[in-house]
Amino acid sequence: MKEFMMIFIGGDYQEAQLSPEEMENRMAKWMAWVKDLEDQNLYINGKPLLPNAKRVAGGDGSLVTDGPFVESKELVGGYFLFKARDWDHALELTKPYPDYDIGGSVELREIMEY
Amino acid sequence: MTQNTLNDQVAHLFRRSYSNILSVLVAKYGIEEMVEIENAIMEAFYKALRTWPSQGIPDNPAGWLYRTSVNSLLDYYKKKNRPQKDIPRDSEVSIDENIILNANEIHDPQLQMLFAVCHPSLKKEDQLAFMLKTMSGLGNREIAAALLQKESTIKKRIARARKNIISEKISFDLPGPKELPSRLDMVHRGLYLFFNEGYYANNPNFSIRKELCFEAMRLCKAISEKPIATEDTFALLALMCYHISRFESRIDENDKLISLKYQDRSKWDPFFIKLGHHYIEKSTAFSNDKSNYQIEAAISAIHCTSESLESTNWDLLEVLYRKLLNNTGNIIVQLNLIIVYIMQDKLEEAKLSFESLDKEEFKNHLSYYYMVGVELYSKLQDQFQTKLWIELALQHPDKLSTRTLEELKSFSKSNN
Repeated sequence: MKEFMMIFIGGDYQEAQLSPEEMENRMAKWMAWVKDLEDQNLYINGKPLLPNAKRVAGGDGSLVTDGPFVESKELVGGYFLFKARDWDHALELTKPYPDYDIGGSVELREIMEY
Repeated sequence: MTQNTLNDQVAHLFRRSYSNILSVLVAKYGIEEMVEIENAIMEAFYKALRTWPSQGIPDNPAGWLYRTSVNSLLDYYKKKNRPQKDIPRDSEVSIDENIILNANEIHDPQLQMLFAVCHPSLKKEDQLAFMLKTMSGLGNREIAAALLQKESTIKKRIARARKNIISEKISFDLPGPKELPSRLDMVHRGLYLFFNEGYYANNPNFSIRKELCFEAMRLCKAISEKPIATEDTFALLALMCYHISRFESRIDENDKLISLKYQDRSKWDPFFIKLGHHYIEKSTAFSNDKSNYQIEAAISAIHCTSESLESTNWDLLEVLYRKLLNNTGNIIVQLNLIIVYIMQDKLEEAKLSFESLDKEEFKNHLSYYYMVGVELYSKLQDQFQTKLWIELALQHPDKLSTRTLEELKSFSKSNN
């Protein structure tokens, strides 16, 4: 098994102006997806990220700029760390992501092992 | 996180919590804070949607949503530098957080909200949209779909209703004994409208329609459990039960409405029919003056308990429809009465009555109007007129069930 990370990009709920009804449906999809990964023992962990950001740079790290640095459609909203056999399997597991329809996308990255 | 009942836990949670939390916070902070409160609730919901999937559903999801909404509202006030004195915290109404815990129950603040929404100063169309928004947790898009209106129209109506409620300073308290009967009438009418929107609207989305009906019934039931309930509350509830009992049988495979004569009566739900009887009894125990809701419920009861179209007690239906027509002057009731005449073979009366109708009045119900024409003239064996009315009815094929459409086409062929 390899480890992968799904990075969720865009798909802003506030912008999509979801109704409580739509959020309820979407929540059920998210929960079902996580449960499915857990049932197969593939889910490691995941977290959502807040949009506010700071960037630290400069020769000695003293240059701090306030974000956001990208538009909301490019903003990383969260991640899942999970296991998969290979890239094909990892891609397959990414399919149930519920927010493609509101412009969200998933960036898939393999974790480097030593 | 292993939750087998996962979907049970969130099913209806957001939708019902929305109306629940909104009402409680409006009761707490004042109706003029409504927009801010709505935003705060939505923010809490977004937060839930972001965090729950990876971190699990909190132990008390409804309570979590409530607390997060309150925090979000207070954060907003802090950011806007609103002085604390402007926020009437716990002023008149003290809300026990526990009442939020069960999102499936309708609490007093929601009924207060219902009374505010059904205030006579609101336009009927605004009221319906606003009622759906505040009481059902549907979004503008879904309300637009349910009411077959543009989303922008719905947005305007909701904004207008909200503005109206705020500017008219409509009290969020339940009306006093003097005002109560007339206000309760408005609430009944509002719920009736709400229910009918789900039941009769020619909306292809079956699940939305069904949801609307059940929500309206839930609210009506909540009122029926309060001391303010009257014979009309129970009659309306009975009427809803009878209608719901036929829900499954009146939609065909293409989501078109099936007329009564083609409905498979074995599909009528005996549970809801029985429940209807129960509420009728409760209603007549209050008063048996035959209010309009009681008459309508009685009409529905007759249909629901008849084994076939032929064995239906049309004579009793005639009496009831006549009385209802007399009370309301409603044009659909008039068409229904004509159908009753036809079924009784009182064809002269049916013809006279039908020919006295003004087509203009049926602009929004043309399909039914034409179908009554077809029924009448085919029964009169007037081939020329029958053909004419069939052609008219076929101009709106989208509103006809597959079965009716087939019948009309074959009718039209055999008359050639």
